[in-house]
Amino acid sequence: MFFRFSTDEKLDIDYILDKVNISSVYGKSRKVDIKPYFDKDALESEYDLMDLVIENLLKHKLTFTKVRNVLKDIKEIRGTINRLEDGVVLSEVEFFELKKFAFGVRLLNNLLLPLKNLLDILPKRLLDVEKILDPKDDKIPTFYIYDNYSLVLKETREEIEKLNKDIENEKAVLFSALSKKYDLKIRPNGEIRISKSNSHYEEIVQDDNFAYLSENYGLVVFTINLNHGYSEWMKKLNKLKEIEQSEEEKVKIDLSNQLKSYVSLFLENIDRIGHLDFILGKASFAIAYNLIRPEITMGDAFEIEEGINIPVADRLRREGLEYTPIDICLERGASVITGSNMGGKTVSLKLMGQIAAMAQHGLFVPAKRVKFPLRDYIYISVGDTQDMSLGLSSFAGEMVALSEIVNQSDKRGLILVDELSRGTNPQEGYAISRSITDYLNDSNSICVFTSHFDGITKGKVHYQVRGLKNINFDNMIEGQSVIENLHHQMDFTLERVDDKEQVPKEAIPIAQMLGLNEIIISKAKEYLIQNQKGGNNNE
Amino acid sequence: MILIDQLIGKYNTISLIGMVKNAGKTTLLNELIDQAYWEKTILGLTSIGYDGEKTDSVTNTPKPTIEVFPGTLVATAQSLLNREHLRYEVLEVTDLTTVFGPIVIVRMRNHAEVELIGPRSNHGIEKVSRIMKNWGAKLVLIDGALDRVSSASPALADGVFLSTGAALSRDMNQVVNQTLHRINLLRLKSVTTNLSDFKLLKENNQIGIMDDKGHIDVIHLKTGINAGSELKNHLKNNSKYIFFPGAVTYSTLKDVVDLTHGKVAVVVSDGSKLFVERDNYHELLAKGLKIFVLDEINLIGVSINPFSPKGYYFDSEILKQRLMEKVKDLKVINVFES
Repeated sequence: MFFRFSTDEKLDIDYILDKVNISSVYGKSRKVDIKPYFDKDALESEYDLMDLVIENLLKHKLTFTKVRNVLKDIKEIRGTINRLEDGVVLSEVEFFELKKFAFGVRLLNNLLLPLKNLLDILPKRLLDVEKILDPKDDKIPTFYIYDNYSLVLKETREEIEKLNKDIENEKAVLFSALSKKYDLKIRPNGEIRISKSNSHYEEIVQDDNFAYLSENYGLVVFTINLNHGYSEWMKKLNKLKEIEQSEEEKVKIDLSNQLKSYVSLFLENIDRIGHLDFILGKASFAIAYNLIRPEITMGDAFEIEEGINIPVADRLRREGLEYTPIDICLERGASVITGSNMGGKTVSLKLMGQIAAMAQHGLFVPAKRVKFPLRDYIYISVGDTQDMSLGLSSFAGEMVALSEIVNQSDKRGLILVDELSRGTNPQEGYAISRSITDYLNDSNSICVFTSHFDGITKGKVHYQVRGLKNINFDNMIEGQSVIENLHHQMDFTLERVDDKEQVPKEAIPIAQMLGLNEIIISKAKEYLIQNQKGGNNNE
Repeated sequence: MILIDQLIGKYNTISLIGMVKNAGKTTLLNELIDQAYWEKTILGLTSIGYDGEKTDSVTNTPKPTIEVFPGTLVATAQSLLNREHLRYEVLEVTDLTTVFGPIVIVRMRNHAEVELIGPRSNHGIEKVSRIMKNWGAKLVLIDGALDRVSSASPALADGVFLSTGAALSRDMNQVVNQTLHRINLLRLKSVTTNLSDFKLLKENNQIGIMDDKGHIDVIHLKTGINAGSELKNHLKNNSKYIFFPGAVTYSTLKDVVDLTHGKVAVVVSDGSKLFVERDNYHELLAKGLKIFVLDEINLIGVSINPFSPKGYYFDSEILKQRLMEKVKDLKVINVFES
């Protein structure tokens, strides 16, 4: 399991994957089955293909719109292919589907062959299949059991047609005679409906040209008995129809047998079409969101320059707010992020997980530059109620997951923990946090913690949110809510401050801005001063 | 009388609906197919949901099958095409699904009987009609339905034929009155303002109340049935219209009339969505009911079947005359007229 403890849900991976637009059923399967890469070379070659597709997409937009339309029109044939492989005789509709598929492959080739270097992801032409299912080479994507398939079929059909014509001519003469004689309307199939009260009723009953068929709505239905007088012709016609039918059956068996040898080529093409579609979706996503190809490294340095948390940036944009891109350099061992509430620590933590997850799954990433070492797994713990559904308190949930993660820290994981031990008393919470981070500092994983505890940063890489350091309360913009004002004044930048062990104290001013009453605020300020005089409780 | 000649070129799609089982709808359909055959006109055929079964599933009386001739285009479910006697060219397999497989468009290559199971939605009917037109159909006939469960509406066809007949009642007066009442409902006039707002409500399948300024209050109810108390909470002094996207019954109309004394007009998607009996309808009109539709139905004719499956029958000329007196602008056809 690459994502541990519902990490994919907590990172909003589904939201991100929703941005990858897929056109075909096969691309959809590919996307649903998306898997992480653990092999650098395989990932790099996928990235090479994406670079190629992006380059072509930007140059030939119209071609790719057409490609998408062809992909949309390619239908699910995996059921038919299974039946073909099992030796089942296919139906007309199934032959049609295979023909349409082969034509779709041809269209994709026509569109993409002129472009550069896309051969690796192009489906392979099904020339033989086209020949088999389009024997007249008329390039029309419809299907029936063509005359060309068998001489017997062709001749039988010609005979049927000729005979039918003769019969039709005779019928026309007979119909018109009978119609005149009895003042009747005869349907094209030779049926007449007549009421028993009709003056001709008795005569018709006696007339051998008519056969009783049924009776409903008080009307008697007769059919013109073509066997009478034409019995030889009708016998011959029925015989011919039998031959036609059995010959068609033979053709279907023969076609099914011929097509069976192309099962593996069909399957390979299904795979290629799925891949092409998926890469196209990923490439369009990369263009729309300005994603970049990350540098995949063998080391342990995970560096992000101007990284963007896509779900949050999208939401802020809808609210008319701007997202501040984040820089951070992580390495093996533990890093700690401290700083203001509302300073975006959780958002930045998720950003790291998202970029790692996207890179490892073969997507480009939302940043200016990223250096990413492939991971064995990703784990994130953020304050939510996921674990409570298992009957565990948030603290218990966190400890259950962490104990498993800590045991596997010899593997190369990415461990992200938001406000470690937030769910318990500050003294013990601090003690547990510090010992966990100390322990993981020596592990093979890249570990990032956010914390409000002073002192936990000792001996670790320490990042601080710049926060409200430069806040100017006189600068509040009128007509904007406190939240909007806070967002504007907040500096989300992460600064590396390894020498600082104290965490910034901005909770009280933020609470004040958010409207907590004056009496409480001034009391809180007093307690804070007392506390600091009496030495740091946490240390 | 050759009817098909008067339809070709004037209409792209025609929907056939029946007031009751055995009203002769399928007989009319086969008559039109026969005429198209004699006139060498290419038809496209489909149905709304289930239809064209060999035996009528309700009354178990023999029901004519749909007979097709070479060249006819048919949109039906795939498994109904797996019949030995059928010869056809597959033109398209759509992404519209039914329990009998996807809807497939074929061109018939022999004279045969087919069973029609078409799409259930408006979107599906429109799609297969368009495909059949593209493949050369001069006119698409839709074996439609007039019931509460069908989501596809006859209103989307360019023209509609209503079939009625003796199966409705032993009393010819009843047949005439019920048919005229249904015709009135089908021909209700369209609301004249805020059409796009009502369209949006219909697309989202939402009940909504519009006030005199055009503001819409969306009510989250699945149907209008037994919605009285909920409606009460939403109806205001300045409410002007109430829109129902689906089937509307007497009790819903009564709720609205009683709550608003006729001050709020009811708007329904189209006249085929109303299920209220004649006497009740007139009672509500007297109380001030105002009613409009979003989509008008273009009723072009009424077919009559003077025979009942129960054995009795009417003098078809009298029935025809009585209807024609009241609806002079409609064609009235006796499906068994020779």
